[in-house]
Amino acid sequence: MLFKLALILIVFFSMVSVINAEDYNADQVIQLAKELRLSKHPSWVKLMHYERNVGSLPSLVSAIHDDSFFNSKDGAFDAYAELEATIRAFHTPISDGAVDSHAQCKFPARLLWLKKSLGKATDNLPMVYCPKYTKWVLNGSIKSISVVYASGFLGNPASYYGHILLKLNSRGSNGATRLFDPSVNYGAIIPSNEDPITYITKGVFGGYDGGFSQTDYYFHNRNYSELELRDIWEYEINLEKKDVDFIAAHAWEVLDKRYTYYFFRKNCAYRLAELIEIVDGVSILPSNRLFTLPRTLLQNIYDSRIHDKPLIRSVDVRPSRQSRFYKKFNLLTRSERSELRKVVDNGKGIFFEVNNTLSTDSQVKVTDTALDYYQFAKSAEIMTKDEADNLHHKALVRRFQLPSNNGTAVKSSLNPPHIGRKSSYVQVGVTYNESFGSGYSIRIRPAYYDVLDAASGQVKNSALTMGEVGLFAQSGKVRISHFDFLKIESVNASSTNLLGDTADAWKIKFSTQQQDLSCVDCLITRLEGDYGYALNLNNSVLVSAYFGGGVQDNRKGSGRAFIRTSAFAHIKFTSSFNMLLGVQLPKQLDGSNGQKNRYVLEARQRLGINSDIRFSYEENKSRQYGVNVGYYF
Amino acid sequence: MYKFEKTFVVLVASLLFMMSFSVFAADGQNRVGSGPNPYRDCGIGAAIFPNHHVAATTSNVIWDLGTTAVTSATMSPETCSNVHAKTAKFILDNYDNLIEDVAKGEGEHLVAALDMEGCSSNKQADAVTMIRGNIGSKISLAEYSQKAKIDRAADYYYAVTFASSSCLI
Repeated sequence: MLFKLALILIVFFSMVSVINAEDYNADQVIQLAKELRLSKHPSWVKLMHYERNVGSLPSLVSAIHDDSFFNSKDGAFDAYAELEATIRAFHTPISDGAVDSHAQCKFPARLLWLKKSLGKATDNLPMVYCPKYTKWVLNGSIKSISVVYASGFLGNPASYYGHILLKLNSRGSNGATRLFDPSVNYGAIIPSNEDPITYITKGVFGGYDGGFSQTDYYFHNRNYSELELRDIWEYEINLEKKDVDFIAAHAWEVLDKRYTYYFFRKNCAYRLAELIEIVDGVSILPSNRLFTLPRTLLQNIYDSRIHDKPLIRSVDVRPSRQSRFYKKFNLLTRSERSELRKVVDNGKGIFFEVNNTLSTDSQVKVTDTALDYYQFAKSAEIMTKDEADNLHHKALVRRFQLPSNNGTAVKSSLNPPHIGRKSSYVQVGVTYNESFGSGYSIRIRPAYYDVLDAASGQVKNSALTMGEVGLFAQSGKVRISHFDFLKIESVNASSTNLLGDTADAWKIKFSTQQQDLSCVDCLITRLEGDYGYALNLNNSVLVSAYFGGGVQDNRKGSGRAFIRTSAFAHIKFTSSFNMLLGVQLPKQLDGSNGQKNRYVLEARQRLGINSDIRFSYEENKSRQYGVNVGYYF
Repeated sequence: MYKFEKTFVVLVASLLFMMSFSVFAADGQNRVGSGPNPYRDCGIGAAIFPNHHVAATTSNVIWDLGTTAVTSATMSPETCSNVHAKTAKFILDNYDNLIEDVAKGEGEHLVAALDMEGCSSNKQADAVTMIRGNIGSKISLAEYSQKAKIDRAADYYYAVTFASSSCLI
């Protein structure tokens, strides 16, 4: 009996001794973290968003300048101080009524990472229940994460290159309930009524704070798909549950925290990529140090792998109202289109005369297309809101009188934006000019596309260029032929020719360029713009006509102001060969006669996904021919 | 005798009809799918989306939107305690999509609203039929076309919550 008692006591005390050995207090945990050099660990650096402070001290500074993100007063630049303060804060006893403000509730990703890094040393941390955070992670029901891409929108400079946000997919998420999934969005915080010049200048040079906000996904779905008519793409990331939880936890930490917003590099795509890169083994940020394009990020994500599996599990699309309307319209038969035209063109919302011969199915199709048309017409400002709402209501009344659909939703045929070429472009070739002979031409376009090479996810028949430079080399001398600060060509090509769906088109360009082709030393700076209409003659030919003008600095008799008419045709011979033809007829307003008619032809043959060859002819006081090979990177 | 039977049947039928109407009316007063206008009375109306122009200029600048209205609704007086704020806000914000969905008898937004109300998926077809009948009986009336969006959304909200009460998971 005594032997048994002694044995029990020995076992008991040895257990107590073991528990004591694991019973770390805050100081001991900090010491262990110090020995493991956790403050220099890449994950800690990423969690704290430390960035290199080139050329000055301290060498690392957090991108977040928000005191509430740090537990130490020096946390913004002292990784060790912040680590130590964070461990201490995690050990702080829970105070009544303030659970959500406990450090474990505010920084759940740091907690997850420290538990993983320090193991049993963190077992003695107080157990804290965090109601708000638990609600954020949907009681642990987040099953995956999707990167969401809204295609480019030429109506707002901040959206030219598309927009990226993050969606947390709940466990029950399917085609319906995902509208309520939480989404995380990064954007600049801009005062209301900011003027455009200030908006662009401060956006580019870091004059605005930026930050993450969260809202239900349907907000973005409505904003982009219905109001701005932009297609939305969802890229579901192939991560394990623990990694999904880690990202969701870190997203919670950075919500409402203040960064500095930079339109070109440290923008929505950059900050969203950082959130995903918090997972070990994920490297998706584009290497370009000047700018981060959302589409390039998508391509990086799509091409990445984790644990020998593709990083992307699935790609899904939400076509915009405009895309849905065009898709439905294109599926209508000739007689159905004719009926739709009658309905739309009469402008009174009168559906189906008594003697109508359309079948019930056809009437359903026509009415459904009309519903899309009126919503599209409202968002595109083809008609006033009241007018569109009134006609939409009449279409609805008619639709209620027809049978319900039965799972016959129209499937989208849009190409996802990650497909196709890269976004930056370099071109080299030979050029012959009648006035000064032959030479080499070089063209570098950081981004994004021109009329001939618009890829999936970009606006067809349109162009968007920033910072394109063209050079001409001859006899050892290199001269600038043009530098485009900004060039936008927007063609809303009509797919239907329905009432109001006439395709307006506009162009704007701010550049430094040679006055004409007869001179290589006549650079002028010019701001020019045109407005007109475009028309799809068929699936292969689009024609457009414009009236416009411009102002420029007067050099060698170039004159200061002009107006012009112009016309263009874009012809697609095959899926890989297309051509642009154009003529511009200017008239100087100051009698200087400095501008001559301009005629252009440019033909593009795609060689591979990331390469092409182009032949060009241009006449503008002199004639010039060129053959150039291009590469996308 | 035959006449008596016929009168009896008519009386019973009338009584049943009146009872069912009373139940429906009582239903409308006291349970889900009834009560105060969630938008005018419970503070959810502030969540109307900006128009196209404003949306365009804030497309990359979305900040601090989305939860305020729900919070205010849940903090409203007791009469609003039965209002399902999240569903109500969703219906107001997405009315155009939702009314089209019910007109067509199917659609993602309508399913989302029913899911939010806890309507099991195998009973949603019946719920949709009920909502379609409910809204369809009103939409062609002249007075409906005169209604403000906020009141149309309230009608829709009542139709969804009433239909959902018969298909809870």
